[in-house]
Amino acid sequence: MTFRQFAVNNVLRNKRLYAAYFLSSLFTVMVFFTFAIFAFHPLFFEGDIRWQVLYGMAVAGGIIYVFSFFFVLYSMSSFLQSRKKEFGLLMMQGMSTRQIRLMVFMENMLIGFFATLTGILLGLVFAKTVLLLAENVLVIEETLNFYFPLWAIVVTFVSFIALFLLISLFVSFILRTRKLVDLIKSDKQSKGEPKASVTLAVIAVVLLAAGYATALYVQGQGVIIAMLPVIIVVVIGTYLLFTQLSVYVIRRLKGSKGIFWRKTNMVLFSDLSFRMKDNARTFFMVAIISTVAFSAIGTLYGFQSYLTKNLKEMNPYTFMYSPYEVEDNQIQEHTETVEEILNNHDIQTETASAELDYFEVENSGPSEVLIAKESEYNRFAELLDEEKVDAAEGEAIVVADSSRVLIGASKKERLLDVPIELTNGELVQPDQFISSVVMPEMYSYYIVDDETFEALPEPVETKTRLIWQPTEGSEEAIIEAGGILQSQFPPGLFSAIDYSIYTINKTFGPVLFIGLFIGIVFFVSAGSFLYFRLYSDLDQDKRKFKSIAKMGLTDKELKKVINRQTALLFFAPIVVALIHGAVALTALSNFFDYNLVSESAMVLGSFAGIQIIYFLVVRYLYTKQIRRAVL
Amino acid sequence: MLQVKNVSKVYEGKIAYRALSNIDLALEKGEFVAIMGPSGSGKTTLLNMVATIDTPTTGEVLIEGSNPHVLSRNDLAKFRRRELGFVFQEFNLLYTLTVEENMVLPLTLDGKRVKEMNEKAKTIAEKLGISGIMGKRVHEISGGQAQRAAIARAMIHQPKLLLADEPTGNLDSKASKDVMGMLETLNKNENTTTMLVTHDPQAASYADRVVFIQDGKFYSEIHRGKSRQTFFQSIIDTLSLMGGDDRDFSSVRG
Ligand SMILES: Nc1ncnc2c1ncn2[C@@H]1O[C@H](COP(=O)(O)OP(=O)(O)OP(=O)(O)O)[C@@H](O)[C@H]1O
Ligand SMILES: [Mg+2]
Repeated sequence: MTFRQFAVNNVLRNKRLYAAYFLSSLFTVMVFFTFAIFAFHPLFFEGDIRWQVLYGMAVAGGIIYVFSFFFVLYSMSSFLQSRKKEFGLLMMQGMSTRQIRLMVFMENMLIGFFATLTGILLGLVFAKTVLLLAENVLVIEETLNFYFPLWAIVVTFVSFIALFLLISLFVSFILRTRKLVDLIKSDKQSKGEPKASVTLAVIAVVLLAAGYATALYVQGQGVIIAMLPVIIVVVIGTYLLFTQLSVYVIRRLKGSKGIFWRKTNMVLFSDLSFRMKDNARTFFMVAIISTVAFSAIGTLYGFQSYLTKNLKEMNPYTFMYSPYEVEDNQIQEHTETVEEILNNHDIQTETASAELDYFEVENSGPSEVLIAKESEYNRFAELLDEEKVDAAEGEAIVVADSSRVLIGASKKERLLDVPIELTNGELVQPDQFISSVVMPEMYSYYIVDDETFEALPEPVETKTRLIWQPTEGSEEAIIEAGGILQSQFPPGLFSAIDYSIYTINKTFGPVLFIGLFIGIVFFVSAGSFLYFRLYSDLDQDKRKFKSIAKMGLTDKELKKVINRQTALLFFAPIVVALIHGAVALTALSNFFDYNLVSESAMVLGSFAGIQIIYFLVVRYLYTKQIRRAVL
Repeated sequence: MLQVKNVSKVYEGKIAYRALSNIDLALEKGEFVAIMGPSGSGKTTLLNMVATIDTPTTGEVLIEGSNPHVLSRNDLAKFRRRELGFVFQEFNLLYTLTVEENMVLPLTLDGKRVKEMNEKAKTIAEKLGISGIMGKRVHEISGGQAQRAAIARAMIHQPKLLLADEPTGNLDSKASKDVMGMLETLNKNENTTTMLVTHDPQAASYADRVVFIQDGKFYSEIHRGKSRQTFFQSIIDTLSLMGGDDRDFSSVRG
């Protein structure tokens, strides 16, 4: 038997030991490959390449690759950990360190090679499934159809073979420095408890508090400036939180007999501080990855909702014609075109036209302000079934800016303090403040009663608005007619809101989908980090519970301990990530001055929900394993 | 105190294996009994039945007249940690805890008060001479100290019955003597009924009575007379008569 045969056989014989390592490598390849299938999708190379999307893809791909590296390295080291004794025995039987290193290197390459191949195969199946789901769930016109992802295969294969090569070299280099005694003795848990520094623990709290406070405090443009420093501060804070603060807290807990000696606490906390060093690294990675996932998905989702949700409410008129620098006779012509096209699509409409007069009002702001006649406003209100207004003589009603206007809350009521001067020198005081979408105007404006209106000075500008509200007609027809009409006129003259929303959904669909997909990939890999962390301690836990059970441990106590132990592992990093995510999304909504509470709650809530399900499943499996060992 | 009535144990498996056949054994309150026999003769199996860690295939075990094996799993667990004390060959101490924490672990599960646990730990540690190492972690102490810590844990709640499986198996003869002396003292002073499994004739000679089993069957038993030395000699004689494995003889010579 040659040495190579020995190495190959060694893998084949110890299947079970290798399975965990193989599976985690395979999983990593699969995640990366599925991502690559989307990143190299022809959709992104044809026609109008969205550079931001491509850029985002490259960044996400890089992050996935870096995390893959650490993940594989990490699984590798815990795999080697469980085999140190085997190495020690082999060495005692006369195998040289060089041979062991060679063996580990070859094993690792063998596993890496098969993990890459299988990962790509499974990734193909997985991607196909995801695409099928996507087509059915999201509006994706430019279908993300399935294609043969040659580039993705090549890139994945090369990247991962390189990755495994690097890790194999790295690991065999590390092995060189180990002494025989260390290897043989390594299964005794003699390593000391990790220490924590009080100073660093305090710094963790200060950094996190400062980061959060800044993120929540800054408004508007300040968010952009503060973003990078806050991210850095929070990342460092998170790292210290897990490596220092948590270790410190656990040690304090263990130091207090009142707590540590209470019921099952001793069984629960006994290994916690020892595992905290390994856990801290995992927790940190998981917390950061999940935060990225939450924030990315929250941002995309929030952005889409910002673009579409209130569009309809803010533009209640289905079709609106707003001539600008157009001759009068042409207006007539345009109107006829609109009517004709609407007729062709079997759309019955109610129509109305308005002259909007804009005035110079002192102190009202940089541009002219619309002042609407009460009767005119009410005519439109009737068309929309909205509430009518009644302005008293000599008084004005101020209508708030539409919610699309990005403006600080303090400035929203600015017109309330600005009286309108009439030709006779009298002042009309605003006395009511309402929100309304009746008049097609973005900015804040006044409504005055008809008599007062007559007493206004000459308007600086008059705009004509023609609107059509369908009373009959199918949704598809309205969208189609909207599309035709919008292309008929110069941009900006004609707005067809249903068509606009449709376009936004269409372009946003794939982007949202891919963002969602990447977020989920991140989240799932975060979950598997935790899963592998838990399982790398399985043998140790089996031994621990077995010895305690011999002395007498009830099922209830066993369940309680496992429940808490697993919950701590699964929720500590996720709760941190949820808080990070909530803060990030709050900062985002401060930036847009757009309320994202319901979107954030939905995104964060669904992730929390998935995590709970994940926890329940893993806890069930883990409890089953432990109980089987204990019985 | 303890009655083992006609107990047999068959290990099911691909080939069913009869590890114990029709064993009868009775221990008086406060009695100290050693079980001896060649490797594989069923000593650990017997001890596990008594310890309620395993259930007999036929026959019954009575502790103070009642059969613990009829209890539910949960009640059994509580029974074990309240009424029985165990010393295992491989110590069975948790490496992540200090000696003191290991000792009070079973008590914490029962929700005892910290003050009470502290006192109990202190008392028993003084008796066993391990007060100085209470704050040390298990890997920082020697095998003999670990065994004493394990005895302290087994005795801390003043069990009715102390069960020890080769407590001196990992110790040199000096440390064995110390540990056995301690078990003897505890047995005499606290009047704790003690059952000891051992290969070591020296250790067995501390008992009031030695029961020999072979191939899962009762072989013979001898009682301690006045002198430990003659008791030790008759133990060795019985063992060589039985023709145990090499290990038994080597420990005789050594
Ligand atoms: N769980 C089990 N399943 C099947 N057979 C078992 C099991 N445990 C023990 N045996 C068998 O039962 C017999 C008695 O085992 P036991 O452990 O009681 O021996 P022992 O007297 O304690 O030996 P030693 O002195 O070596 O510890 C042995 O032949 C052993 O192979
Ligand atoms: Mg045995």
